[in-house]
Amino acid sequence: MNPVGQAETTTDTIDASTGKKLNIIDCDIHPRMPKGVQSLMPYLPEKWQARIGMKGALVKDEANPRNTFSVPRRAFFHPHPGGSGRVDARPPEGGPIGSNIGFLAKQLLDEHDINYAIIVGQDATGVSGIPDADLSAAYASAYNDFVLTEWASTDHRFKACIWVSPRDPNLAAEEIDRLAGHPDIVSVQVCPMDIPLGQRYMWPIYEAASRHDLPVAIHGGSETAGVNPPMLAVGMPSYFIELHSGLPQVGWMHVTSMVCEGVFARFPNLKFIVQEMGYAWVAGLMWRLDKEWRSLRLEVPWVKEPPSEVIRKHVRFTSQPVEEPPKPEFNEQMLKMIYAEDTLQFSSDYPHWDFDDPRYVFPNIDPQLRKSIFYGNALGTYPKIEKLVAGENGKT
Amino acid sequence: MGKHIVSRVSDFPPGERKIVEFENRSIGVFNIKGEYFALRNVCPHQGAPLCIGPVRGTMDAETPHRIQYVKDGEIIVCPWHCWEFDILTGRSVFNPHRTRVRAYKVTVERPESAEEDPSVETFRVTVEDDLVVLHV
Repeated sequence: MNPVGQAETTTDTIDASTGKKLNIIDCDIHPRMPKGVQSLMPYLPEKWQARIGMKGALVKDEANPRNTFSVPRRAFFHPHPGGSGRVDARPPEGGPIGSNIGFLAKQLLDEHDINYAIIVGQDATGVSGIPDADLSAAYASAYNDFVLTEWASTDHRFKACIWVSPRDPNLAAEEIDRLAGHPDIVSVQVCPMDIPLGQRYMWPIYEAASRHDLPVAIHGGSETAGVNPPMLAVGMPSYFIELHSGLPQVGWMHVTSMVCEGVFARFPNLKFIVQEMGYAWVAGLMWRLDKEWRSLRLEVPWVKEPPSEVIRKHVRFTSQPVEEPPKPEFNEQMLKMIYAEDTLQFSSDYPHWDFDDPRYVFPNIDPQLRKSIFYGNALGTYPKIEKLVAGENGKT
Repeated sequence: MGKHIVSRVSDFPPGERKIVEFENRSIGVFNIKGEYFALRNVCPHQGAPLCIGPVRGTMDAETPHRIQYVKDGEIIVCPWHCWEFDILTGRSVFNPHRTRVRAYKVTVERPESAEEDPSVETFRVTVEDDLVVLHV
């Protein structure tokens, strides 16, 4: 029996690399670097350490304490009254929540019987906010090496993504080429900035991802990070509740752009993953796009099938924070409307305050749909995990 | 079901259209490059008078952003929501297999063979040239 007591069926998938039954692939987790940007220094080339004034002993700038390089993050950090992380996820020895990868593996992966978890992390979600394209790319590269070395290598269940900054899409493509072959890499993580992601400016990134058969994901966190704009259509709201509830706007416009610009017509094997931006809104987007397309197809004649079909084939949404409709029948209908059997992938968002416990989300849904959401769709999205599970490239 | 004389050929040159009403149906008849076609003047979407919309071509693209203007003069655009239909077939551009408007047969006939059904009001045609005949 799985945690919510659904009857088992005969369609269980056995992971050939471990011999274990597949239960959960967690598509979005957020360990944090223990010492902030200092943790990155061993992975940042000397020239860049020197360039940002972090080589050797740090000298505080007495005249201006802000004259220090830091991880790009939202310009104004709306204070979260309850704290932004699970208090019980603080490592036993102290330090930032989520900063002890061994403790994370125990608390998240062991306790919830998670087969694989994709490390999105916490410290590169705003990397596109560094205006210097070379520094932005160098930071992303250093972060990728940090994640692979310090985290992904510690447990076969961890998988990692290639963070890229679109400040220079060609440097981003080079970074994808550099790391795509690493056995722990399963996806590309594009940090949005100030243009709709479907536009041709971004295509070197998609060309590289497509060439290596890696999906491309986006996550919140780059809104106003460094020099980035608010990215919410009306400007920056007053409260965290507004900001957090408004993230679907970001997903809405990027998905729209990816479809209408023909990214999937040009790169037919590409999948696009929208993390932590909700999914109930996807039904409305599909219907609206289909309706508009019937009238305005002339503008985008390379979109040969209804946009809802393009989304169903190419776009995936991670589940956390899970939608909680007031009636079970609303939930059931909504999952049908967004073709959740193809488009929805479980994520926990551990160790954040709004973590979703896989034992409690999606209660009483069809067992087959449950498998699609908890691992089946992820297998179709991440070819490298699919091959691993199929025993085609076992990891030691 | 019947045959209805729409016009003399000499009065209906290429590029023109006529909206006619037969058997309680409003029908648009089009001369596309010398051939005649007819469509029901009701858009299947929300009932707009489809056949009064602009006639033009449409856009195609085999790869993104490389547009090609095709079928010039063969596409009718609904005056309300801009749905496009192929005048030659009645099929919509966006979903030709499922969304379509009723198309009718149009023939060009010698005056003596174009007699209408007796039950329908007729008018005398005393000209030498051929007639455009709509089959409803």
